Amino acid sequence: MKDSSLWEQIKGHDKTVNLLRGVIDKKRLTHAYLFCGPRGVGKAKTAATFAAAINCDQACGTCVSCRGIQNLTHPDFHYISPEGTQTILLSQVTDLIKKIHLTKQNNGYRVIIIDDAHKMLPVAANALLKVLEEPPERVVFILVASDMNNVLSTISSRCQRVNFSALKVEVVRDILINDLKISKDKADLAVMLSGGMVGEAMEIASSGLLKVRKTMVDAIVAEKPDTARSVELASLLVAAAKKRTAKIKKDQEIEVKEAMSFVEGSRGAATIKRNLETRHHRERARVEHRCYQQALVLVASIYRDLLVLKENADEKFIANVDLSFELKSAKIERAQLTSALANIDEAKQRIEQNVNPLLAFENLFFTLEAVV
Amino acid sequence: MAYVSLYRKWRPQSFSQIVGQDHVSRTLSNAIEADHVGHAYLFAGPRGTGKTSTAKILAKSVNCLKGSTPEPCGTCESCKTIMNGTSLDVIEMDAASNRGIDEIRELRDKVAFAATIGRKKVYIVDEVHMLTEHAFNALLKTLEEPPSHVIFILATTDAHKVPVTISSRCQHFVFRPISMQDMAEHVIKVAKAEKVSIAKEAALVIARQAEGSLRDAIGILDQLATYTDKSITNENVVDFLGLVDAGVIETSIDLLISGQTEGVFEYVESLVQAGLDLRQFVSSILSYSRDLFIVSQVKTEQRLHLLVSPDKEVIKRLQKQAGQLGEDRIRSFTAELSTLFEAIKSSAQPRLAVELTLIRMMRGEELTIEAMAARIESLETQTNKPGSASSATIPAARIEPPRSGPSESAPTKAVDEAPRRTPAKDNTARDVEVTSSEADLSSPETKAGLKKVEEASSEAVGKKEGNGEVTLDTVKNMWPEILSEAKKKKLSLNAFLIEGDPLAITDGSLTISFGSRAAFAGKELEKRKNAEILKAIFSEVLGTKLDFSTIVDKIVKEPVVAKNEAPKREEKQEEGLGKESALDMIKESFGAEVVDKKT
Repeated sequence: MKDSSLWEQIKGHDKTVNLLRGVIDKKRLTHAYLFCGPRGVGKAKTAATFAAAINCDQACGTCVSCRGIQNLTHPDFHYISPEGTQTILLSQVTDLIKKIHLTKQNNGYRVIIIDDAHKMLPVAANALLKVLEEPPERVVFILVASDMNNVLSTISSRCQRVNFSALKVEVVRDILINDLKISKDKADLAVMLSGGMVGEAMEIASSGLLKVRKTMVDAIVAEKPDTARSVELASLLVAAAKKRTAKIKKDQEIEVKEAMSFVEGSRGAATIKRNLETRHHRERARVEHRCYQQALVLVASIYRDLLVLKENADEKFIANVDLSFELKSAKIERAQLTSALANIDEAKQRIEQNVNPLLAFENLFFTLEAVV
Repeated sequence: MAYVSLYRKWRPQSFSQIVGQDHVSRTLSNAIEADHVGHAYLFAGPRGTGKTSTAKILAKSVNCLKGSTPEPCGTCESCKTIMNGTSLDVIEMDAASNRGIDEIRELRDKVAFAATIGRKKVYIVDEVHMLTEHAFNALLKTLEEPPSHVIFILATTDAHKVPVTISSRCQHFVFRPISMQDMAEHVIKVAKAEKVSIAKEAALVIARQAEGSLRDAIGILDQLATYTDKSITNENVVDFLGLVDAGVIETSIDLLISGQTEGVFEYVESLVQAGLDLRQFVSSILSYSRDLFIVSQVKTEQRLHLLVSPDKEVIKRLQKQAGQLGEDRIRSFTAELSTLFEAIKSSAQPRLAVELTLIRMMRGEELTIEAMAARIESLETQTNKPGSASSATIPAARIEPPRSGPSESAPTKAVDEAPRRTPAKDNTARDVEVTSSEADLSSPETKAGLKKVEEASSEAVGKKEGNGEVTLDTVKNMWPEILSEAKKKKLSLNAFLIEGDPLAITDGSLTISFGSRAAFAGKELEKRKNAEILKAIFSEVLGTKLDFSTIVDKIVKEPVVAKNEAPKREEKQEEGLGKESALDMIKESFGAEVVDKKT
């Protein structure tokens, strides 16, 4: 590995990284941290690196401990993420609490990362409270949350908060182009649309959604509502999401096949297969869900561009640069923008509440067109 | 020994060390001194206000080997074991992870055993609100009359989740959020003991951020000590907590006053680039607008300590900005920002929401219901004024018949939409109607599409009139009767006929026109069966034989309106689409009769 430390791989969070490295260097490690900040800026990655650094001062990335943490095989490293489709379950937390008191290997630290901690069910979060406040010696919790409104105040008050901010545009672009090998045009567009969230930008760039924007703009800009177009648009968005899950499904099938080749014929094979498939199913549902959220972000971005144009602001603020011609033809009132934004947020909520996405999108576009 | 978080290290060890809960600590110390300690306590209050700490102190106090005292020695065996959590007499139970009835039964079985080295057995049940309903009920009897050597202390942040049957058996102590002043003092005290230098201002910022929770405050101090190498300034705190600098907010208010909407994007962009959280920004600007509000309301100097930042310089600038904005705008700002603060939490595009609100605030556009109502009212008076500008330019707007639009399309919408619809093809259809309702076919308003037929018809009218035969007028007058007759004879015939419009009579043959949408109805009418019935109806109603033919207009057709009904509807229209007009609409569209009316 080229880099001398895992820390070097974290981009754009210099201040935060310095703080965390300082904690290790000065030996002022406390027992609970809460990493908070927008989604997809590298919180979980930083958390994993911090976990490595707790057990290996340099976070070298090559020693047994570091590799164990990176591969999730370290015996004293626990990574918890939502196992329900949307939630971290009570059983996950109680299982964890049982393990906390076990003796540690090599007299090191036990590090627990709870990813998406804002998705902990209230019962689960409450069960964590006591142990989070006064855990056994050499146990460190790292909670990662992107939505502080859903983290209990009793949880957050027991942790040291580490804030993450959105990344600078250049940093995101750099990551997309150099690390993820995404073409420059696409990267630029994705960066503008994501507003500084690498994860988001990455997904937008690789989703088939960028192509749909033209139709979206047409629908929004059009003077007359066109039911057929709205229906088509909604189905396009849903199709894009399905396409993405189909792609994942292929990889998952290969994984199942590989796993099965190891355990074929042994007694637990059926259970292993079933568990794997349940996990895969949940993963697909999550990806699909994310895809819809991004589609909504794109819709909102178009309205933002319209607002920019409306206020005669600098055109560098337009996200959908390639469509600026179409955008300019739009006639829209500010009040309409407000209600459009409200509609989009409503659609977001509906989809979060498991409304059939096709219907939610159709409804959204119908109302949006009626507004114009 | 490993590093211990400051908030654990600085847990109070005696009643005198508890910060900001005098009402609790005094009551309890007096109770201990007077030997009046109860058997069940319920400690409730927000996080970080000292519930668990007080419970532990109480446990130590009653068990201290040097005798019951509000100042436990901290050196005897009992105190020591309680402090490091190994005491057999003080059982700290986590009700959130042991929330079932089984755990409570187990506890109930054990309460009978006497204390070992101390005098009392103390059960601290933390997070008690998480117990299940059955668990609570299983506890009731024990809680009311426990053995004399047992004290229960229940602690919770959500007192409302504790059943009343439980809380009525306990002495209830409410812990208050700790005041900023107390908290800042304590932060400074801890910092001093930890050999960390901290500015008084910085301590205040920390105290404000902690929102009444001492644990939060000490936690922040702990972090800052690591972050800044033990000398904490105000800037450090603001920077570290990702707080929005007062300067940034002031700039934003200046921007709002300037009204340069195009600058908003640049400004928000700079916020995002600086890595500020937009939610944090909104909450800061909201509290700043509170300051503005206070300054605009409070005239006396000494009351200004209510401000978030009671600094002379700041106050001067606040007063200037408040003067520029005026009271009303400040109030509407606060309202807008509060809405935004709520909306931004779940927004798909927080940035857009912020930009939009800022721009709206600049324009002084209020989206309040009152403002909307006022606007609607002014629009209504405008349109209702006869001969006013709007009604002159769009004469057809209000004669527009109630169309497919359901009656819930409120009056506002109708008024609002009227001007927009006018230019389109509707316009023609409506004009035709105006004509027909006035029964004046030679009216100059007649549109080109109909001209030819109409010319023919007006000629025909002239010709027939002399012959004493059926004229178009009579047909039109009798049209409702024809329709009702058709309804009696054959329902579908009525349905088809309703779509048509008697247009002209030439050589004893009536031309009925159909809108392009209703072309199908025309065709159906021409079918032999229907045609025969219709002709029969004509001769019955009109008294003479009358042939007929159908044509299809290229123009969208409104359902036919008989002459005498038209003006009535106009009135209705003016009143808005009330219940009556909805009924009319139904009657017309379906050719229905009102049999019974239930309200």
